[in-house]
Amino acid sequence: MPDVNVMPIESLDHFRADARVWLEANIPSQSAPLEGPESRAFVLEWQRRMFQGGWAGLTWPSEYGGRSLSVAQQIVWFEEYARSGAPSTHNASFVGINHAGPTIIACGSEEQKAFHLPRILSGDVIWCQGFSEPGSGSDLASLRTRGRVEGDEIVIDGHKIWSSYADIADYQELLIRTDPDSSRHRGLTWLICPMVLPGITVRPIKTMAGPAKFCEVFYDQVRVPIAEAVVGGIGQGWQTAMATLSFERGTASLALQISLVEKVERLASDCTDPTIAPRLADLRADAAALKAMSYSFALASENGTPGAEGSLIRLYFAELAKRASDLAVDLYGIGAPELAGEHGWAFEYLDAFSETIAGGTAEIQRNIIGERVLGLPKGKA
Amino acid sequence: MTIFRDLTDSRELVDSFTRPASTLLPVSRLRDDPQGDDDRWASVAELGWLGIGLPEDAGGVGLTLLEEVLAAQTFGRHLLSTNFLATVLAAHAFAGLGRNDLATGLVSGVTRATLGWQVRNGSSLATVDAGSCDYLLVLSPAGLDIYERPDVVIHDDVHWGWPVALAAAAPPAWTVCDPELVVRGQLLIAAMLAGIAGEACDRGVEYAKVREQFGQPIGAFQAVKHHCANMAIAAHAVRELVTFAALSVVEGTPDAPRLARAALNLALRAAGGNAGTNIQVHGGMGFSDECDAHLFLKTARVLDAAAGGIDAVRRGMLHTT
Repeated sequence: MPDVNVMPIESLDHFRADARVWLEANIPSQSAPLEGPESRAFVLEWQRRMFQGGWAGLTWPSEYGGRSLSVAQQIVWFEEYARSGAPSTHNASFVGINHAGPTIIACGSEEQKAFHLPRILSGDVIWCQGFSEPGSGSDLASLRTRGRVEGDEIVIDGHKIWSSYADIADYQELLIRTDPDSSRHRGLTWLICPMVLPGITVRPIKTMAGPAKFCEVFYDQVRVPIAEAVVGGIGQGWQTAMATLSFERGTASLALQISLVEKVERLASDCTDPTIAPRLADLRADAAALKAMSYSFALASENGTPGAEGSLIRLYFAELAKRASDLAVDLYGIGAPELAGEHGWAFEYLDAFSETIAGGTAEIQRNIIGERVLGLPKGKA
Repeated sequence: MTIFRDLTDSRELVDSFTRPASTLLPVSRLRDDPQGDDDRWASVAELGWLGIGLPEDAGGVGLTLLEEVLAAQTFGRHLLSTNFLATVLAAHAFAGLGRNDLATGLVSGVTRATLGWQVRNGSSLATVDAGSCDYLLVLSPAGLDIYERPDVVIHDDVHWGWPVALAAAAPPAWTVCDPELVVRGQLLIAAMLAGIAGEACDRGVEYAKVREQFGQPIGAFQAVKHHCANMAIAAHAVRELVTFAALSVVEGTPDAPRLARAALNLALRAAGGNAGTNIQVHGGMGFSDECDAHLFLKTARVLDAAAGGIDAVRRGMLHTT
């Protein structure tokens, strides 16, 4: 097997140097607002700037505005990105860049690709996700928001929740039940829902960490055109959603993983307290393992054969993020400047509680690892 | 600097020459053979396993630390005697001292080395599986102490899988201060522990699929399933970190020594943790001597001692960048 991931270290070093120079010259001086219209304006402006500089969509196909670069280059970019203190990628552009965009690349029509992908990359639009419902959290397949096919339209009625940035989004990736007689994974449809349509109501929900970035979204006879909206075919929604998830398991979380490793190393350099030091030693070792796992997984996914270990890495990251911010609160102490501010460790600590809940709780993740990775039997219902 | 390399070829190569381990070294051999791997040593040497990363003029195969570390993960799964580590490290130390004759003797299985450590609150040295060893090695933060023909006395042949022997402290014949040797020692111990973590996980998972209680396999119960998931996460994390660290050493990246310490830290926790969880998943059988689960725990503890203990490893990670 050829070493497809190998790229001359020298040219990677040039790439790294270019990234570093660009980041130093272009990082916003203002810190990123966490919610509302200011957050939208900030995120779009930053995305636009990266796009114009040639640093957006590094691994996206060039025909849709990306640069068709290697995963190794993507990793180097994220390393420099984290090192430079650039705005967290866990912001309002996350769903578009890492979720909706890749889904459209994998399953969308040529018209959908040509229309949406350049807009996502160039910082014209914000996307949100409409998957979870009040009665369907970890058990996503039980969702009940329904779509009735009427001629060349689908009419949507229902209720979604935990839809981050829905209040400032232009589009939503929406998973609904279009076959009323179906159950579980069958009869679902994945579609693109413009957030300006009549019948949509958005209610922001404040989180325990402060910002009101989560939203509830209500749909009252919302009409979308099938040809423009449906991705992957009516009734094929689960397969479409899974296509995204397998992409997401590859590189989407790399930026966050690399950023966490960087934060842990900063904690280590700030630590002079011998009572905390042993915990920090373990944390650093575990962060190094996160890096090793996520790099090796991302490089394998480039070869088209990402293993099942993506679900392991995801859970490992979530629990490590919680431990890191917990240790940071102990290390600096409440009242310290490191904890204060919109992006201080107090926010990180509180916000990290979502890590083992969002996208399937840690308990569900362990069931998935047990059943799908290790082949253990399902329990009797 | 970051290293990107596809390891498929290296893994396939190492898999091909370590394959005989499954027939030569079934873990069950340790149930009723208190002599450890002494009798198998000639075969182990003949397969080239003792000189994987050693230059050919020192009797080795001429590969790198990466292949050595990949192979040690497999040997860890088979609970190959810790004498393997002692032999490999001593051979590297001798080659570094220009004593290719002594290195060749070890690699060919003619002379034997055993891995020891300083007894806490005592002056003597402890080791397991000493047999009729020519050298006793003790890892130190700066390098290696090599004792020649130590006078060992069996101290405890009941508890640790292999008999524990004590040797009176005498001045070492060689004290080798070499940061590269320290890193190699840390990574090889970590690699064997990673193998233990992986094998303990696999055995626990397989048992959870077949052992039935309350009318279903115990792996169907979430409490057991989550134990298995935790073992799988730990095994994967340590495997990837150990390999990544070895690759960093081979490529000479500046953070390689830090990654080696990190790998050892995680490996000690992952192997001890998974070995204990595997016993728990096996229930009453896991507690019995007839089940091999305890052997993984005991070997992990011995390797922990040889590494200086998890707390010392943690301390070694402070104040380092």
